[in-house]
Amino acid sequence: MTGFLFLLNNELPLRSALLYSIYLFIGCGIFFLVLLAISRLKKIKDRKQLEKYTAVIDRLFYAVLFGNSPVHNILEAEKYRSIFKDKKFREMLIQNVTQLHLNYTGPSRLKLEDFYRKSGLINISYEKLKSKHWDKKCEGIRELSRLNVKEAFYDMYMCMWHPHDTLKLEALLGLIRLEGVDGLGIIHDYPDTINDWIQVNLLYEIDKADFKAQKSFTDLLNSKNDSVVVLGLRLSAKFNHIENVALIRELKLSSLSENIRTAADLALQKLPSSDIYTL
Amino acid sequence: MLLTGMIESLINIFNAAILFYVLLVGSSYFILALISINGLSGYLKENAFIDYNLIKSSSLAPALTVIAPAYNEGLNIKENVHSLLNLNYNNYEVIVVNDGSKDNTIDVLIKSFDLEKIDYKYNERIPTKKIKGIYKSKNPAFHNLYIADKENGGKADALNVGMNISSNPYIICIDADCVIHQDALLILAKPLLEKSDKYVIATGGVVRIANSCVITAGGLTEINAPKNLLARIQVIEYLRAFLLARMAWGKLDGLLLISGAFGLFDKEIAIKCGGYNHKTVGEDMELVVRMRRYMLENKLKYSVSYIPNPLCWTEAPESFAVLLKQRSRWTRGTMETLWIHRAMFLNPRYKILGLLSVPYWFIFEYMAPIIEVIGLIITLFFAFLGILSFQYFLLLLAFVYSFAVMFSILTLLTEEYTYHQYGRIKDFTRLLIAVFVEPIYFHLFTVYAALLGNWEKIKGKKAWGDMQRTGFQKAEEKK
Repeated sequence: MTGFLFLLNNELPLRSALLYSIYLFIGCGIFFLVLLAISRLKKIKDRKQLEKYTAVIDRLFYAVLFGNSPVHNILEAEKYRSIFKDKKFREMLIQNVTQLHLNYTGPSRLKLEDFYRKSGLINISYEKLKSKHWDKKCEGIRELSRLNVKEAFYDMYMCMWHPHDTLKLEALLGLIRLEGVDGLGIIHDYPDTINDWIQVNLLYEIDKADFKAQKSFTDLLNSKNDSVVVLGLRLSAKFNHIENVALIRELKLSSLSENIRTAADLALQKLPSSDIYTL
Repeated sequence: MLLTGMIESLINIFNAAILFYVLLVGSSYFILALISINGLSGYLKENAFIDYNLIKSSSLAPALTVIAPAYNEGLNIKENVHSLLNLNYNNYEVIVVNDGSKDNTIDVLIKSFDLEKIDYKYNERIPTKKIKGIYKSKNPAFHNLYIADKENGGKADALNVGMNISSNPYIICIDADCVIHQDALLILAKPLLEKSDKYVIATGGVVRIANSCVITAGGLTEINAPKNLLARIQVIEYLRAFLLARMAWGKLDGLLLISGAFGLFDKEIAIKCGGYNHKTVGEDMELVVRMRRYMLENKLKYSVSYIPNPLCWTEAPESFAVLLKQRSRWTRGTMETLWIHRAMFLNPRYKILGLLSVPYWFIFEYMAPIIEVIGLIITLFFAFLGILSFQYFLLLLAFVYSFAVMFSILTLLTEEYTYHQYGRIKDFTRLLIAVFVEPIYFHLFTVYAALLGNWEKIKGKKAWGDMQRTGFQKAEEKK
């Protein structure tokens, strides 16, 4: 405040302060424009690189899926050796192998998993999973779980205790991808809320992979976490598990949670022959 | 000697006050921008892992009602309703409320959607003007469309009719002349699914300017910077407001305004609060403030979400006459809302709303044009007395101008790094020209419009005033 008053009572420093501020704003404006130009040029460069790499990746995966050469030999080929050193190319490879893995089944799928491991791309995904940044961890989980790296299960499980919600969700999805619906049994004592958004994602993942549930969801239905119970009820209805109808009926009648009562009611409506229990 | 000393002191006080206010405004903009950029960066990172489409196939998707009040919208209504019916969502209904239009809006609707009047028991939970009839389509393809034809009562009254008719827990209030992003409802539904122990009472999305954009089958297919300079400047203005200010208020949990063009509300809470207030022309802001006040006063846990995605595209005025009506109305709306909720001003009971949001709106939104004009008058008075330091005056002017230009370029940069909607060099150049022209060409006009709003309020004007539409550019027109 004293400085401000000093400035006002002394015209010269005030004018200088204004003048330097104007220079600063002009400088910042020019700097932002330069950043804008750089961003645009980078986008153009990325687009060109994407086109170039897409063609290379298409050829590479053709060789992986339909050729007879081992992965090591393919990557040692002159046309791939130098480009493989480029981080962006490797990132694109991971994205492509993950995407192709979704589209293929049987031996082709196994070939892709083999390529992912032998090419060393798996190590990049592991590095991401071990990263301090939640978004990198999410990427790592997504890649490792989609490419069926079961050894990563424990690391993914640990991510369920991370404070970031998106990472928790991604970890849960990863566990389902690796262990199927039965993998969800481990969440019966999970302390955090599994909100409807997370449940929509989990149910969608289960639908997409067409998982079958071997075990009943008794553990989930007996959980102290209301949101886990709601998930258990939805899963019971989805997989037509009638073993727990009596428990579901009890939840509908006596649960203190409105969400549980509503979900139990819906589950009872969907479960076949549940009427014999409710009569 | 004494007089000269007094005049000098007065000049110093005046200079200090003006400079202090300018610095305060500039710093507040800058702080809000930093919070927004940080928020945007986090939001986009998170968004990279989200697949909104899975909500579409989920039975857990919350039931929504889109309410579109229409007044003299005959020119665009058919395309707009088609656009609303084609949104990517599986659990919603559309209610168009014809608010006693003087043009052919209702005829266009009846003809375009094969409507017939139905027997409907209207439950008037919020009192409204008389309903002339409720229509449904004979075509099963439009099974989720309802049209309410009513006596003219203003936008707030029309929205209240929609609320009374809605059968779903959440309502989305839009302007009928808007084009909604195909996935807008999916994106809006996510915060509703994420709620655990609190109400999501309102969610707002970003509104952008659609002038010169191309619309095909009711959807936006080509984004262009407007050819009209006035509309183009409003692009900069909207980007600044939605990307660099409201995002920050959303992060601070101090959002007071969800644009009337596009906002989602918890119907029951909105009805408990009495619905839209038809006594104000700033009904959108007033409802948000009233709902938040209600939740705080009743100690109910709640949240107001803000989504920075461009979800809604609207037509901006291209003539000064229409813009003047719009801006003076906005000023009246702000005045009315701030007056109705004056008890919140600096009241710690209302937390950040009372201590920061309401005072900010009063000092930096409502008072800014008034202070600007007072400053200008005193400057002219000093010039008349021959005691004005022109050098200082010009420096201050250059200071404000360079800050405004720099801040608008920062807005363009933020847009570039986030949604990158204006990819072509031609569009970018057009917007850049607008950045340099805005402080001279547009700003003075908005100050005048704000003063007019004050004057109209003092005179007791309550009407909205007609908004002349030119209509969106259709794909076939472009060809």
